[in-house]
Amino acid sequence: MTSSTSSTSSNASTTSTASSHPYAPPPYLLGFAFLYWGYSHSLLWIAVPAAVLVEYAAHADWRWNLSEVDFVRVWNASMILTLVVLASNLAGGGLEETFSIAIRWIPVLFLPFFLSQLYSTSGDMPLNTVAVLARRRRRLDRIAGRHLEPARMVHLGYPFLALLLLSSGAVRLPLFLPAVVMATLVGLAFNHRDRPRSHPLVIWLPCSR
Amino acid sequence: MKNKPGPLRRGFLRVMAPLYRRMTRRPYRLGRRVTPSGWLVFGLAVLTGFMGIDIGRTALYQMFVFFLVLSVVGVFSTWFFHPRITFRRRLPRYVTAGEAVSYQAEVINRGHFTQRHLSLLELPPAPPPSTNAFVHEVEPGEHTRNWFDRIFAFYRWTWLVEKYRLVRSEPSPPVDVPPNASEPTRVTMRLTPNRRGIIELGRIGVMRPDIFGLVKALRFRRGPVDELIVLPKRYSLPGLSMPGRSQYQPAGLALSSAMGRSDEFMSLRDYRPGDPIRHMHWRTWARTRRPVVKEYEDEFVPRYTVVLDTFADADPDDCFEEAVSVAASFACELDTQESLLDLLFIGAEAHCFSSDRGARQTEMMLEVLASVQLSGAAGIDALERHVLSRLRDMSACICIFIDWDEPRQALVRALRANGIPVTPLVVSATLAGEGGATVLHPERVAEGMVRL
Repeated sequence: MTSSTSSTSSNASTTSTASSHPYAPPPYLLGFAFLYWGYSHSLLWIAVPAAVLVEYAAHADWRWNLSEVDFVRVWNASMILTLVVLASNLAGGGLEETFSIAIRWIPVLFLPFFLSQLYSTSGDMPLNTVAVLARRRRRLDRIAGRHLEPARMVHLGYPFLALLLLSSGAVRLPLFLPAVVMATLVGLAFNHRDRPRSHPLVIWLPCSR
Repeated sequence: MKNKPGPLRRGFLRVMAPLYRRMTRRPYRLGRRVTPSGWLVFGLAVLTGFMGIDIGRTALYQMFVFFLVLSVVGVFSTWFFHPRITFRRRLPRYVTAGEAVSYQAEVINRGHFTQRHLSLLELPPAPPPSTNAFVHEVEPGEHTRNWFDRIFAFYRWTWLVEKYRLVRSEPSPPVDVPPNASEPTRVTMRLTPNRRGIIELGRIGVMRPDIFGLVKALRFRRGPVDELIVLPKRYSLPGLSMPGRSQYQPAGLALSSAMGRSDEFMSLRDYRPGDPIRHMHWRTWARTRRPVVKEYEDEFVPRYTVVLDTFADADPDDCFEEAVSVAASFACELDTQESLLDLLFIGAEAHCFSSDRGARQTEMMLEVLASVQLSGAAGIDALERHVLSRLRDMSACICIFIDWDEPRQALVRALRANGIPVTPLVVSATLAGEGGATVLHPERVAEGMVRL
C-alpha cells in the first residue's frame, strides 16, 4: 500500500452530492437494486441497511475528503477481504461453491469501496484506482518525466448497479428479467450525457432517424 | 543526438516504423465512438454471455440476451444516420501553438427533419512520425521501460504520434439543427494546435448518439478547405537592448512606409542616371525643362539580423522548435518602427526575409517562421556564406543555434572579426554554459530569455 499524502478526515463539507454527477444513477435506483439483490439471496437484513446507506449519500450534507491514495487503500482493503473470503471457502468447499458464494457476496464485499466514493468530496475517482498496472505505469511515467494525460475519472454508480444485477442473476427467479429491463431502461433514460435529452424514453424509436 | 543507435537497431526500427504507421493511421478511434454507457452494456453482454452459459443454474443468460439486443439495436440504428448538412468555418487569421482557440462553424441542415444532438468534430490531417524521427528520437525515460518495450519501441511510436500531432480537436457541444432555417445554426468549435505550421482543415466529422446512447454514429462531410496558420509560441524579452549602430539604409528607404525621417524632403537637384523615377519632381521639370529629382534626408536606422540554425537530422529534445520560438520572440519584440530586421535561414535553399515598419510585417515574418523546417545536418557552410554576404547591411546579429560545434563557432568568430556585434544563443538540452554563447535549455527558455 502506498503512503498517503493527505489524511482521511470526516470534516463536514458542502460539496455537490453524488447524484449531481453526470454519470450518477437516478435516485433510489441503486437502493431498489440492493433490495432486489437482498430478496434474491434472502439477505434482506443486509440489503436494507446497505440500501439506506447508499441512498442517504444523496441527502447527507457532509463528505469525506478522500485523496487518490485513500481510494486505493479502500480498494486494496476490499480486494483483501474478497481474497480472504474466497480462500476460506476454497479451503472448506469446492471451487463451484466458492464461485457461487463469491458471486452472492460480491456487492457486500465492494460496498465499502463504493461508499467511499459516494461519501467523498470528489464524487468520482480515477479509473486507475482499480488497476494496479495502470497505476504503476502512471507512476513510472511521472518519474521518467513523460507527459501525463489527466486521469480518467469514473463514477461507480452504474458499474455497481451492474454488479448487483449480476449477483442477483446467480439464482433463478421469475422476476429477474423484468428487474434487469427496468433498471437498465431507467438508467439509460436518465443518462442525458450520452443520450439525447430530446428523446423521451417512450418515444425513442419514433423520433430517431 | 543522444545514444546513437547501431546499424542493427536502426534497421530493426526502420522495419517496424511502417508497421506501426499502419496500426495507428486510423484517424478516429473506436474508443471515442462508444460512450461510457456503451462500454458498460457491451462489457456486461460479454461477461453474462460467459457466466450464463449454464442456463439451468443461473438467470444470467436472460441478462445476456437483453444486453445483446440493446447493443445490436443501438449499433443498427446508427446505420440510418445520414445528415444532409453543409457547414462553413469562421476561423481566426492566426493562432499560436499551444493555445486553445474557439471559433464558430455555421451549419445548414439541407434535409427535411431536425437533426438532434449533433456534435461536430474537426478531423485535421495527422501526419505520422517520419521513420527518421522514429530511429533517432528517444522517448524521455525510455531506459526505464521493460526490455520488451525498449526493443519494440511501440511506446516511442505513440509518444512521437502525440509529439507530431498538429492539432487536438474536441467534439462540439451537441446542438439541434432545424431544417430550412433562415439562419445557419452556429456551433462553437474548439481546438488546440500542438505545433506551429499551416493546418488544412477540410472534412468534418458529424456525430450523433444512437437511441440508447451506447454508440455514436459518425459520418464524414466535406466542406470548404480552410487554412489555419499556427504561429510559433513567443517569449517576452523584457528590457531587450540590442548592440550595433544605425547606418544608412538605402534599400530600407525604398521599402519603408511613410513613417519616420525617410520621407522628409530636403532639396531638389538635377537628375542623375540611376535615380528612381518616383523621385522625379514633374512640375519643376515642366517649368525648367530639365529633369529634376527630390532629395530626401538619408535614413540611419540599425538593421538587425536573426540567423536561425536549421541544421539537424531530427529534433529529439524540441530544441529546434524552441529555437524557432526564440526567433519569433525577437521578431515580435524588436521595435521595427526604429529598426529593420532580417531573418536568415537555410531551407531547401537560402532564405532571407526582411521586415520593415509595421505590425503586418511582423505577422508576415511569423508566418515564415510558422513553416520553417529542419534542413538536415549538413550545410552549415552555406549558412555562413549567406550570412557573410550580407555583412554590409548588418548592424548586429543574433545567432540562434541548436548546437555549438566548430562550424557554428567559426561563423560567430567570422562575424566578430568583421566588427559585427553578435549575440550567440544555443538552444540545447545537453550543453551548459558554453564559452561565448548563452545556452537556453529547451524546457526553460522563458527563464533564459528574461535574463538576456
